[in-house]
Amino acid sequence: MKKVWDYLIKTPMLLVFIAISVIFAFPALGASAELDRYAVITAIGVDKGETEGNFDVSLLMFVPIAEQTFTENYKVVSAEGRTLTEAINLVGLHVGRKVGLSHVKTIVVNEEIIHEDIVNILDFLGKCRNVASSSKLITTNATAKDFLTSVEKLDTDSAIKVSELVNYNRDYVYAYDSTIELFFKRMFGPTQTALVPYLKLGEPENEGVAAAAATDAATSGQGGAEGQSQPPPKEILNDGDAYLFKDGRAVVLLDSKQVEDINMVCGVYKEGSIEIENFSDGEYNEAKLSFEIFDNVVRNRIVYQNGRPIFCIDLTLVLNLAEAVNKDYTVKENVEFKNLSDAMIQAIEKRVREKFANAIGIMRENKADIANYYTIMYNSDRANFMKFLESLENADDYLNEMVFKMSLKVTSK
Amino acid sequence: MTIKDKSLTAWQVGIMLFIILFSNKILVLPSLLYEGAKLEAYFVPIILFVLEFGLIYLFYRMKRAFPTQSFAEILQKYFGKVVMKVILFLIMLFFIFKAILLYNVTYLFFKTLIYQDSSNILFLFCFIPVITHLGIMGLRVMGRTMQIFFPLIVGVTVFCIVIGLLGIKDLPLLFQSSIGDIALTSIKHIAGFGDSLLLFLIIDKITIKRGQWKVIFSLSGISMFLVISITAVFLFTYTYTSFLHPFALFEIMCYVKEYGGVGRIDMISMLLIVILTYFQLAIYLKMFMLSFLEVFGKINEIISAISFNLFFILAISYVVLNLGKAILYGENFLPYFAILPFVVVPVLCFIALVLLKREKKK
Repeated sequence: MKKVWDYLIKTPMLLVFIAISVIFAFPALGASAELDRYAVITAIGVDKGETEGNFDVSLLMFVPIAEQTFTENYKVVSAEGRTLTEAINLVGLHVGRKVGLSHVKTIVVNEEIIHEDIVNILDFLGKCRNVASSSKLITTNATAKDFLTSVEKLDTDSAIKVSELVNYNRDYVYAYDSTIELFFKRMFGPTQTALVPYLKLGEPENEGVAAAAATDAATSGQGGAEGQSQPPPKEILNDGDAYLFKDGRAVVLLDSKQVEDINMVCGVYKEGSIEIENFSDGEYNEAKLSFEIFDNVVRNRIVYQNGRPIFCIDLTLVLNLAEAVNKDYTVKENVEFKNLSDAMIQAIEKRVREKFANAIGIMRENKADIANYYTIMYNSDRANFMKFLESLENADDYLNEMVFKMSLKVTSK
Repeated sequence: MTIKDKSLTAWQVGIMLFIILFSNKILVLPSLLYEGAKLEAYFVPIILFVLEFGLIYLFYRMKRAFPTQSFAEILQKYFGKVVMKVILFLIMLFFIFKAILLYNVTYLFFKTLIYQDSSNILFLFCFIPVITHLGIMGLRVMGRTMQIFFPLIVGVTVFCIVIGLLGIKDLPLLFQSSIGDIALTSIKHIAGFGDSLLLFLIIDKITIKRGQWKVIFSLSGISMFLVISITAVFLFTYTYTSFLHPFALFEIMCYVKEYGGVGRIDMISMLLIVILTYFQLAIYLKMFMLSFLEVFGKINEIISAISFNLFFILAISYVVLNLGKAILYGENFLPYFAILPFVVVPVLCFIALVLLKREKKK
């Protein structure tokens, strides 16, 4: 015993370790599990409250149930409060748990709210409630509560599926990601514009892409029980539409074609196609042609003439003829291996120029520099750009005063 | 002075310097720098590290001029006992105030991001005994322990920076801030620097063989480069939202984790922060003890360690302990103490060197 005591005296750190274990580790073993104390939230929805100025907050909550199955149960809980804090605290009160938002993957905001500044809402969630900055921001036509209810009914782990849907949009539809981090970056940046996905909630027979399958009757727990007694849930429809935000407020809803046009100018999406109708040359007669884009490289040059910037966009498109539907006869050859004819290249150029003009038109009309030309011009020739801005009556109107020129090079793969 | 404090090697001093140069610079500071100097905030550590490097060079000159004398002896010889005591008392305060800021930031980091239910008591329980033990065991034990952890610290730091580079995507607006903004921000946050002042306190406890100075200069240079890199990577990763992210090193790993989907890669930065905090607090404690013993003389080093702990706990419990207060404390109170490493000590050392030269001429 004396030897042990001497050893302990000689190694005080061991004593410290024992003390910490006794004081903190044993009580921690007896404490209730965090899952019993916390409500794990995977999606947040924000609507206008019934009372003017109030918020209606809906939370998609993961309900952990100790069973020997792999099903996950979700539940939507809502509460109205004068502030988001009050509403979230009320939700905690309803479910008898502390609301933990660090697992949130999706933030759904109702269309009614987005015409007011939503930066404060997101700022609160990010700063005070530790919502991950990689959470996806989504706008919807229905109430956020209905949206989350549909998500809950669709399938287990549905919030993740909705965020996957938005991930797909990031890669193949929009020019960039729609996380709250990126939203803030754009809002606090010089252009103060951002695109936010718009997912509609519609009847199952509507056109569009449904996010997931209908109610899983086998779903156990509360969510499953409610699903069996209620009518089939509405489907989440992804048409590729997006809201254009400026200064934290939604300005205009862009359809997928408009988004695609803006995308082409930005040159940052992974794939797409160009459709040409009524194409005729020696080989085709009033044909519908579809060209698949393999690469879309955009290079910018800025020159100043009389103090006015001329923004030259050199666009290189690498594409292939993927589909040809002739009016009078069937094309009996593999179009994939055909070289692009001069007439085809001219038609593509015309179509791309239309898309380009459309994209610039949207940006000019809304004074929304989605392509971030401001930064490109500022970094390339700061002095001239600042002079140009100073020469304008309204510096915010710089897109309308700029001259755009596009040179296009179309090559086949 | 105890036997165990004797003769640190050049490598041990270099590693100690390497570790302490990270102190108070890799968590909250980059975010605060952005508020003052925007994306050009990475110039602030460059400017302040030039001053820091000047301090290390001054130490080199002092060590060569006074190879065996302690800093207290040098001060007493040329400026008298009162000046020596006042200067060492201020240095003592400088190190404990820096320790308070460091502990606060680390505690708030873990409480905010890891374990919100944790209490300050738990953290004090984990930190105080270990750093006190290291402080009392002496500089040599501290130096050797740091030598063991050094490869891990370097490896993890470099890994964090390399991984962090993956988070840089778009080029933001450059050169928005003026030279005045950068200068003002540098002055505001100067208190985060000046840690190489510790070299003067251990000047008589270092044995540097011929040709080994380059080890000290190289390690401190590498450390400065890494801190500047962390600041730059953080600023260019988060750009306009840098001010929303208060814990730089963790945030750059977090960005890659969240957007690259690489598991809990951010845990690696937490490991680094814990190890660095332990060593940095231990160094601050030891520096407090060394100056305390010179100021109050004839007092047991245990008493000096207990004094540090009492003052430390009281200050943490009543003065700071939330991020707002900690920032206020670091930006408005501590910069006055930065006069010590960047003005007072260099001036005194310069005078001592001139006087020594005159003595030799005579």
